Amino acid sequence: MNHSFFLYGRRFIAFTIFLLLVAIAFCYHVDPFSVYGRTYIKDGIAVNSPGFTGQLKMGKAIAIKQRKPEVVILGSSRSAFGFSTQSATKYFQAINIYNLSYPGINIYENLRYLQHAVALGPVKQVLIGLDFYQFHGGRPAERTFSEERLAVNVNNQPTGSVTKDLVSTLLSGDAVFYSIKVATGLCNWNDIYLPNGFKHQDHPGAQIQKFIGSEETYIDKTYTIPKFTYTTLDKQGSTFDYFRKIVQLAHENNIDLRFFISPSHARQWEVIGQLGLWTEWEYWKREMLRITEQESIRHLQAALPIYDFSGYSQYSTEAVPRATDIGQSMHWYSDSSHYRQALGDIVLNNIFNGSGDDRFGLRLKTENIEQHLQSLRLERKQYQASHTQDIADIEQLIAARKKY
Amino acid sequence: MLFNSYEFIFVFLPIVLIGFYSIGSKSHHRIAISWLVAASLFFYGWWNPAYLSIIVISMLFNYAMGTALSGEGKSKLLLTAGIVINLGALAYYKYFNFFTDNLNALASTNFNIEKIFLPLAISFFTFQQIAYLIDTYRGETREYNFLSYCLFVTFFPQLIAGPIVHHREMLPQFAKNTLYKLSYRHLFIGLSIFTLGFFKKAVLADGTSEYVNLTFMVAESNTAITFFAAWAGSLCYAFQLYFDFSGYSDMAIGLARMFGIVLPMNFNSPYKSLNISLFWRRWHMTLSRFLRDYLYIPLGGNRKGKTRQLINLMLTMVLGGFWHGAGWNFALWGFLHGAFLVIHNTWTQLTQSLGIKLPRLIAWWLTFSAVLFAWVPFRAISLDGTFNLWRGMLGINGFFLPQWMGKYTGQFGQWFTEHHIAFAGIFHQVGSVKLMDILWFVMLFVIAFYMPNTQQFMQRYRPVFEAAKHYKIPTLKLYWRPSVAWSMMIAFLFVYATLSLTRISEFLYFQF
Repeated sequence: MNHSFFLYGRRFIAFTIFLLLVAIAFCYHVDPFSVYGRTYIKDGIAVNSPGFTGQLKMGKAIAIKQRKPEVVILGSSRSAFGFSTQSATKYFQAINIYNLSYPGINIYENLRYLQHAVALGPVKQVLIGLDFYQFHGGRPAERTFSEERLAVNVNNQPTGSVTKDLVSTLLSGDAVFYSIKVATGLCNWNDIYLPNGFKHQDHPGAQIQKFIGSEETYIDKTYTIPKFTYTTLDKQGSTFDYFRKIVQLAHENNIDLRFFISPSHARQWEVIGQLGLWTEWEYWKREMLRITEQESIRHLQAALPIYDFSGYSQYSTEAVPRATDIGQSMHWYSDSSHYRQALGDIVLNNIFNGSGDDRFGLRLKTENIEQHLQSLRLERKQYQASHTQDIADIEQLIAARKKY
Repeated sequence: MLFNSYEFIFVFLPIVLIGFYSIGSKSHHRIAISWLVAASLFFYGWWNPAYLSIIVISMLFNYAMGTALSGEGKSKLLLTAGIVINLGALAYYKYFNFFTDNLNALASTNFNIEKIFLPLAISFFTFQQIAYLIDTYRGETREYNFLSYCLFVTFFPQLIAGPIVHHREMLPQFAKNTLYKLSYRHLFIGLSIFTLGFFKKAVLADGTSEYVNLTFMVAESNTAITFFAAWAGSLCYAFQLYFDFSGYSDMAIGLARMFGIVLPMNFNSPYKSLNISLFWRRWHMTLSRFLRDYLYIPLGGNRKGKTRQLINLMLTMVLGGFWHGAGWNFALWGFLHGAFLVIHNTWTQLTQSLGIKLPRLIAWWLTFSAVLFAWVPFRAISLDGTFNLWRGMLGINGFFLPQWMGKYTGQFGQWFTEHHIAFAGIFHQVGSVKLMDILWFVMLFVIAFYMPNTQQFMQRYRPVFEAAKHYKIPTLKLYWRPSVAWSMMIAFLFVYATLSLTRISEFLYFQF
């Protein structure tokens, strides 16, 4: 009797080892996240596997370990989609540039990925795209954001763990799942990243449906669930503390770090306004400016610049093609939140070659901020008067939410 | 160290097993037991070494108490002191913050007490030892040696989350000489039970957590959650909790079996119950047993008249609710179950005299939906969140239907709007739900309601302490046996669960 159990156990162990080895070999061979050097060719150039797009937080963290870039771009999907490799090489001095932005990033994650990059490489220049939603402290960290895969912890002490990457990329259900998807061609080949973290292609110009879809998410979820607050989930502090840490990190490491507030479409600011968050939005800008100036005095260094591209420019007020405008699509925007790479190029130009006085990319200073905020309030009124249809769209979306 | 972690499965467990059997096979039985106690304390200390002292002091204190109670010094006063001290420690660590918070809110005082951190498993080891003291006082225990007693309290498979073991089941097993010789039979029966539990926990329960977290987060925000999303959320939570807890219990039972120890059954397909009283005989069974023997019966049980019985039921359940955690939501949960039991009790009495019997399907649905409603406060963070979700489940917050249906409303469009029916997609508030999610849900449903449970699969090999008649599979020939097919099946489940330990999938909800 005991013998049959012995045989059972031996078979169990043999099958287990066999299955595990098959899984590892398969994942290594397919390399669905492009972390073992496998690239694919699309439109004649080397691109990452489409599985990389599905696991950006992991893929980009590992890429930083391998590439150790000198220039890093951080921020949300707005920064991830809005810049092309061509623009970046035009304005940054270094060759080793990496776009570390990923969709849905918050200010804490911006800090953590910056710490990761600074700990691993000779980071000299950083550009961070700031968004209001990133400072919403009530949103729990996404499960897929993992502290363990970053090179240092939040106090900048090395974590020294490499097993997590190995397990995630070779021995996880997700790795197997993505390997099958990539191997069988079920992945989306139209949403691809380059080995330097930039998007392979620009996003197409928008029409009204894309705007409404994106605004609905902001109205129903992003700004409202849970209720907007700067207080962090653990109630121990505010999200501005993370922003301050970013500023400090740059000063301590002599990094040329520049912030910019993303140039979303004017309708996005209308969403913020109509949700009753305009005052919070103004406070957000004032507070960031206050922190950069405070830290500049403390470190006896020039203040890190914040360029404000939000507001009402010739770009952000671009007309949104209606359902009746068949065949038309936008030049500057792919939806209410995301600007296209042509506008990204202008953003980089104004940051690196501009004087900082241009209202599109105004460099915020104590002397000009109140005047600037007041102008924005006035411009909003003008926008509302001249774009009644756009305003009505947003009112309708907000009313629909309140009903339920 | 959780059972479902690499370090436990691939490092800790093999070392402890090898150590135990190599010491035990050389007839060093006391050293082998000491090895297990040391390993268990290490396992406990892994979370927070600071709390090791608490469990050790508790163990020493209760053993000394037990010795005193079994000897000449047996007195009711001593027993009372023992119970009060145990409960006092529990109250301090588990309820003191809750108490001061409520006092501050109620009396507008401002006691600023530093947060006391809950030592892991204190509720479990306190209960086990109180039972031991009471039984010693009643003269129902035999002389146990100190080492065996330590193992009874700390034995790592059941230490953190139960089953809540009884000294009568455990200590005689430790005394058996056959325990120390490696038995492939026990080892692989145990490993198979462990794997079934591991799969339930790591794949079924953890794979469902995302939707549950989302629903309850939405419920806590100011958004009114609509009908289908609310039902889907609470159903998913019911499944998540069941697979999580029963899976963890199976893992504990399997682990103990690898050491030749049989633990009591903790879950017996509770969601298949046809009334609430049966539910409590099939859900967290060792807790129900404890509450019955050491709370409900001492309160008078059903021996002091009908009214007292119903009061006792209610009291037992509310206290049982508080045992789960210091919070009003747990009390509400206990209160609801108390109320369900009272209703069921009254109903049974009434219908028995009238000869009415509910059809099985209705009885099952009533029981299951009552349990489902009660899970809401168990999981929700606040009472506001609870009520929001309940309103959703009752349809008060309106309904969302798939967008494509909106095209066919014709002249009734206005009517739908007036009745809070919108065509925004069923799960609009909680993000998009794909076909795969629905298939997953159907699978959980089938497993929870139609599949045999772990004990039933393993019934030929005495998986748990109870007699097999409690959990027989009547017709299916799916019994586990040490066959080639089962070794492949278990290996497959083990690998699947291992691969699921690391999840990197991105959470698509808050993306833009």
